[in-house]
Amino acid sequence: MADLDYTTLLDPKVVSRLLAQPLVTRFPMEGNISGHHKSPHRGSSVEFAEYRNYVPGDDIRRLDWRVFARSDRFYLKEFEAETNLRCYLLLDCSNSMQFSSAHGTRFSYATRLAATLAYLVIQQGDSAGLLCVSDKVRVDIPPKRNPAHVRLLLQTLAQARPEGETGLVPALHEIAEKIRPRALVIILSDLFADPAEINSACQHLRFKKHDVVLMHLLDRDEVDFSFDRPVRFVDLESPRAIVTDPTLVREEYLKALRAHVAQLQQGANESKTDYRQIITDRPYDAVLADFLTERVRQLAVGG
Amino acid sequence: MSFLQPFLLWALPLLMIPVIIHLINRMRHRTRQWAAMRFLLAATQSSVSHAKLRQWLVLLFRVLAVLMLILFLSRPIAGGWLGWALSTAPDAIVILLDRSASMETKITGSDLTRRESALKLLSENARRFGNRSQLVLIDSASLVPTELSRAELLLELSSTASTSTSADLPALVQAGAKWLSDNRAATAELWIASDLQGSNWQPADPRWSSVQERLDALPQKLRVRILSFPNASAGNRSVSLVESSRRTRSGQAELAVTLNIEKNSPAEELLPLTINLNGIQSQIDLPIQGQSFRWRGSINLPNEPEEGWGSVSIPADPNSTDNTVWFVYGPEVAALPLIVAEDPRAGRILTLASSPANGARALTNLVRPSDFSPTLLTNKSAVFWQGPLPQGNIASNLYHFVEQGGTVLCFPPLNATGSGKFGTLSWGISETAPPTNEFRVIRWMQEEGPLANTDEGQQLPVEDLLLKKRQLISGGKTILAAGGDGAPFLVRETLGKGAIYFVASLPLRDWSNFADGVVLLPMLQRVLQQGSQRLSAGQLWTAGTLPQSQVRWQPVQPPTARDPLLNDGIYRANSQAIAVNRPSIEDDPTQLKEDECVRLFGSTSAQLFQQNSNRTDALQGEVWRLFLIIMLLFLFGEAILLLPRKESEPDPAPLSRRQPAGIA
Repeated sequence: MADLDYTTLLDPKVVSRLLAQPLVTRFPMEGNISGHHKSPHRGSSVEFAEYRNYVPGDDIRRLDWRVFARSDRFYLKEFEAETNLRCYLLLDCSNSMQFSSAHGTRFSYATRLAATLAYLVIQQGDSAGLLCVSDKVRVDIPPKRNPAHVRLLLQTLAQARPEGETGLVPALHEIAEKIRPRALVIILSDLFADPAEINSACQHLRFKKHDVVLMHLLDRDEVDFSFDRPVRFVDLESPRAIVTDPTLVREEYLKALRAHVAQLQQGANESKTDYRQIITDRPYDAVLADFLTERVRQLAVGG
Repeated sequence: MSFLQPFLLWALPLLMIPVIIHLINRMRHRTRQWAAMRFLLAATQSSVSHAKLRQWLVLLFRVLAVLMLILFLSRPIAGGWLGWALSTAPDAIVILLDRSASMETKITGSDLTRRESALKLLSENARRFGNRSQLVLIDSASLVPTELSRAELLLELSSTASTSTSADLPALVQAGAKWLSDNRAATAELWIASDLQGSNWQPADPRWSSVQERLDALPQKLRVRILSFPNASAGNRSVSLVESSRRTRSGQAELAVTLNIEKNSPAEELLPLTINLNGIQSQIDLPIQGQSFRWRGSINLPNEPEEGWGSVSIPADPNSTDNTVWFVYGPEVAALPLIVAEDPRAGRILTLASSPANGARALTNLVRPSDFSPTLLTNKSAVFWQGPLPQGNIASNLYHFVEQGGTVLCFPPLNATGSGKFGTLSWGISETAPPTNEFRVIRWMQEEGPLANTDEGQQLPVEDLLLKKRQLISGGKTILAAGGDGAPFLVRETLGKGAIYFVASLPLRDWSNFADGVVLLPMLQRVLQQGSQRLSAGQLWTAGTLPQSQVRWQPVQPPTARDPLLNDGIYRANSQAIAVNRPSIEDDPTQLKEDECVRLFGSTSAQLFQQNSNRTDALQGEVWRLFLIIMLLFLFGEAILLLPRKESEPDPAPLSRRQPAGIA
């Protein structure tokens, strides 16, 4: 894959169109500054949360004197805290991501998604970080909200190369342990690993109160498998090769693929992971627009 | 199994085409970098058994389809395991063998005759059934069933040897059907070997309907297989004797002979005729034209001895049995007629006209019909009968007279009142011509018969006959002369060695100018001459018609002749000599058509096999249809195997479908 100019990762038209729609989380986040996202703590926003009894030590300035006048009891009025979002973009950089077809490579599609998301997150005042994972965590850029941080992220994405075997699952466990505050973790991968292990890793992340998004990137050729002549399939992550007549194995292949997807979907439902299957022949801006819109809708209905 | 186009079997290596295409297809694969290898591996492992089986089946079907195509184009004829013996061995096989003279024609490109080839083929195929089937042979000459202990006997038995007879196929099949109904075999087959000669099969014979009824009535399932030899051998000629009679011309005894020569091609040629008279050969070259040629000539006879024999031969050709005719002759006998007339005037004219040609005093008898007595037939050659047709004992005596070689010429009665028949002939209505427009005879047979041309080739003035009255003739077998309106004037029916003639008018002034004598005289003399063989010491017989007797006939010529009942030649017993000739119907080139032949067996399953060469697989039928059907079945099976399998279970996790681009 040719080196990408990091400026080409962002399309101004796409970005300007997507900026109108904020990226929200489905669960409370723990930020270090005030922001637009729900926090698990009480704060000073205009959003009323609850009343609670006064206990010694509480700041008497927060006493609700109107309630005291009516009930002769001391109550404190509490408000929702709003904090900023820490978004981790986890990009699968294993060799399987360099799968290419007439629609381009999966990796370039993923980097565009990641770059645009990073830009959107930082633009809305949240912090974004990047993790490039193959057989190990190759890049680990902690989240920052500095607009200059976007440049670093874009440069890193432009220089990233798929290499090595998939080590997504250990990386996810490692990240789950490493990231302390609650964060939004967006995983961009083809997820060609054991679905049970992926589900387990997602559960681990969810256990740590992270909001997890699985962006499952599949190519149209992989989904349709519509070859009509014998093909020698060479594994991208090993020297293994198979010569077969696709018409003979298509049915079983699709069956296995559907079972894999179904298992991932089921695991995502159980762990409340946001699973999204993305076929790479679809424009990435449309995918992101759907993603952002749906997140807002989910939040509105209490999802 | 063998093939009519065996050279196409060289295309059998083309069977490898589907395999080669398959291998090339596999070798010409594209290489594709693939990420979702885990699913591909799972698919390959789980579908290896079923998919590979299907793949091999598809390949096998393609190879077999190509094989069937090649076999189909090679026009397979099935025998052995597939065709002739597709069914199990029948309990009985009745072989009906046509031993007629025409079966002695050699097959083109072979030294075997049709009969020999048929015997070889039948023997070969019957041997395949071993002892499982009872073999019965019925030959056309004897019509007697003979049980065979083994198939090889077909080649050894005297009852399968050649004959000079004709075959009566209706009688032969009847004999086969009778044996089947008498013996009631559970399953039976009728194998018929014949050259489908029309005169032998007689498709118009009413006996065929009774044959069909008899075959239909058989309780067991019967299959009829007919081994035929349809194509006439090129270059075959045949000669047959139509007439021969001794006469004296200018003090020289001679034998007047009429020969009929048939050949395949109409081209003109010079045919050398070899005449053998008592062992002394002479030759004349005869220019002949057309496929059927009739020759009338005379052979000078020595004064001493008065009796002798002879033959006329044509050069050797594919059928050696139809190249020679035989004759015998004896002392000249006076040809005397018996005139039976109800009208004395007619009787007198007939008496005058039938006087001996050499001017000798007439020794004829003239009687009225009521005075007829069988004793009057002694020493008579012909009977000229004018009056009501003879009936009862008189008719029986006259039939016997004709069968012995005599002739009967019937003139119309003065008043045709009865509806009786003589032979198969009878008188119809009487017709009177307008005064100035008499009936005329415009067509007559000039090659032979009573109105034939003279030895010098001159026509008789038959067309000068003016008939004021005529009596129509019905039921005629052979019309020798007829008027312009088709009404017969002279009709002949052959019976035994002699013949019955009916003539439509009387030699009376109020009937015709017949009495002028220019036609009547030669006509009566010829009828008289024809009947004289009844009294001749040397007799002509047709093979198969000589009655059984205690006489021990010794062959004279050819020395190898075996049986005067079956084989032609000259035979002698004591002082009597006979000449046996092949039946003239054996020269009839008309052949039965295949469908016509099969139709003769009605609802019984009959299959015709043609034999054009000396191959032993001729009893096999073409089975290309079978291979065509099998090929189509293989292609159909291949198409079914290649059909995409229907989804058996609902999709648990539908994969994303194509969506329109540009959703924002």
